[in-house]
Amino acid sequence: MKRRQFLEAAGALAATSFSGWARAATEVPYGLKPGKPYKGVQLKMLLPPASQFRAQQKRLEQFEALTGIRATYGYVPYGQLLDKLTTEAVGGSDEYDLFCYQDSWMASLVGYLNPLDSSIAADALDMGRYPEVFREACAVDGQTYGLPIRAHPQMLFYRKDLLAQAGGKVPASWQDMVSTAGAIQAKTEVPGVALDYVKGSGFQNLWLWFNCLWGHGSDLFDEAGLPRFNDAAGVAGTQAYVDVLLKDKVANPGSSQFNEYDMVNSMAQGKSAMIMVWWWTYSVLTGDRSQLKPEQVGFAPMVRFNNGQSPTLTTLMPFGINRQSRNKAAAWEFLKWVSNPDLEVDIVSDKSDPETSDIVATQTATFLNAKVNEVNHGLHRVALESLQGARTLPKMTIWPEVASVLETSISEIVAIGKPVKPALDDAAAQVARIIRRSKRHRG
Amino acid sequence: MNERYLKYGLLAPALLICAVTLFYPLVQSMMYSLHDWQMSRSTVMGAFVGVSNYVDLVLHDPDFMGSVWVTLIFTVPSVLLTMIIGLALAVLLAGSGKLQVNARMLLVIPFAMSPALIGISWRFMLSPEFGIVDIILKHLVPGMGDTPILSNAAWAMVALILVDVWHWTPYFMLTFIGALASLPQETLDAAQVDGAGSGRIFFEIVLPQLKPVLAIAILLKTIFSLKMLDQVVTMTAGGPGSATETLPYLVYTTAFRYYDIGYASAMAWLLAIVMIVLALIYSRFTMERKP
Repeated sequence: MKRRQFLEAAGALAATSFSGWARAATEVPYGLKPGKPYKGVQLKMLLPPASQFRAQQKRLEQFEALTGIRATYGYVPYGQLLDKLTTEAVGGSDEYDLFCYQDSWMASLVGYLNPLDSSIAADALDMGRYPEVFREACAVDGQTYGLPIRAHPQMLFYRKDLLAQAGGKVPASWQDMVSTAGAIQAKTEVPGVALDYVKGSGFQNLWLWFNCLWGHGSDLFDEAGLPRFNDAAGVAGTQAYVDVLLKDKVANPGSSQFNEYDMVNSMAQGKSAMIMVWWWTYSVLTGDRSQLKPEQVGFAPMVRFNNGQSPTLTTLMPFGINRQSRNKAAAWEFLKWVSNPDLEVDIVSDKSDPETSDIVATQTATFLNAKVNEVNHGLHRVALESLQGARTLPKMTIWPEVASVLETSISEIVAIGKPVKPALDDAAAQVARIIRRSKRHRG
Repeated sequence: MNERYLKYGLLAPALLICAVTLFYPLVQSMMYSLHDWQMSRSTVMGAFVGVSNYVDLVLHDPDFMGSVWVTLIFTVPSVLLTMIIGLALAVLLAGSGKLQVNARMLLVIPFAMSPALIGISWRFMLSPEFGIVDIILKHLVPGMGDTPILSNAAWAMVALILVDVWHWTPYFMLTFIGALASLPQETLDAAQVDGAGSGRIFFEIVLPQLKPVLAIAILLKTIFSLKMLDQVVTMTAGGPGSATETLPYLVYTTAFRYYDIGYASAMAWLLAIVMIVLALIYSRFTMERKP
């Protein structure tokens, strides 16, 4: 090789190496935009308190290092979140750039949320990483308004030690659950199960009611869009739901005043033997504030009706972008970062800090991840079983109004003693009136 | 400037502030109440519907009539109890002794607390599993332990009323202490010299002289009770069932949970009419007292 040729080749090699190094230095993961184009932007997120979010918050420095964007979290208790969101949205406030909301509120919030489809397509964000039911829950009329960052399959949590004392087996059906609760209560004097029948906590007293309603073959509406929850199957389902406390008397007597937090605390304080609730509560039941030791807490897929064929309920708390936000592009960068699979696996595997220890995941790969399951005692695989055939809450603009009528009816049946059929008939009449009014709004 | 016009000039800033902060929202909400406006569908006010929101409310909405009834059930005892206990405490603590002054200071604490915080605190205290009230009741009243107070329709209303009374009594106690201090000492001394007992002095001399203050206090407390919202939101959420669903709570949920601004405005206006009437009576009373 001549000297000139050698120098040319060496120069070319050096240039190639340098450009490769330079590219590597500017490449950012998770589809984030290189070059920190939104450096200095401040984002504010409105969300309910959860250890998952505190864990994200702890890692926000990573996001800032990658993008130069500073994000802060503002917490509002779940029971007040819808009110706060509505006030912010209706007031046209741009204080918060991102909202975390419940999937069933989405239809009435779409006017205040930014559609994400074009951003998802532009960045080729892989929505296939989420179970189908989660993807569907984030869309209204074919448009996506959020990413499934937080989602909950229902699960059955039970006291292993009390179940062993009663000599029962882990319930798989609602009927099994009632008889197991009775057996535990008779043997140990600990109330067999805790439920949350109180109204006013974000419609929490409807979640298990849906299992019973669907489990008996009824639904909220018929094909014509009219209420059908008061048909014979609906009445039977509702009766099964309230009988646990009123007739079978195997529920903690405080259940009529419990919301979800109270119900979970009841089990965590050793005052109830079982709960059927979203899986996030596992962190509470086994956390440092619980009186239970982790080995006392067992979990199983949510109990079902109809030989295990009835649907369970799942709920999501997607993250969406406020339509009024002045930082929509930066907010989208945040969504890409916060939804990245590495962050999810990192959070659910990290048990170093009780304040940020959480199990909530939304991506199928995380549910099946060996390390995640090892750290969390196989919870995620069982949760995926619970998600089989799961349904979400209806998405309609009048949902808050309809849900309010229904939660009041459940409360009337349980606390005031109104019989099931008349209570559901009255509720159906009110819901029909709400539908009529809503049609008037549509003109 | 002519003195005739000077008074209007001096009043102008106050009138302007009233127009912006009072009349504009009132007129605006009246307009909303005559229109169809579902905010979950549009951020712009919808079609004019005349009085149909009002007709729907009064003729077809059982929730509305129910909440009017619940509001009355709440208001009457809460006003009466606040007045009776406030007056009794005022008589007991009107003196300037060390104990009375310290007791007055302590009793003012509930009034200084935020209503929302009061609701949340009492909700916890009334919890059947973790609440202090349950523990106390368990020892004092046999059979009352483990009673979910807030999920019993009657007890929930009693709890709401008592918490409201607990919150407002200090304010009215201070009002009555002020009124008692302004009573002419001579008439009380004369009655004592004439041999009247303390009961007779209270009912025949003190109470008649307190009538104007009492009337104003009753009116004010009625207005406060009619518009009470915080404790319902934080303590009972209108439950169990709709046993504590007061009218302000219904207005709040209709506007900020169901986004039905037109309908909520109609409800708010019906409540406002009652309040305006009470406010006019209050003004009449306060003006009549002026020489």
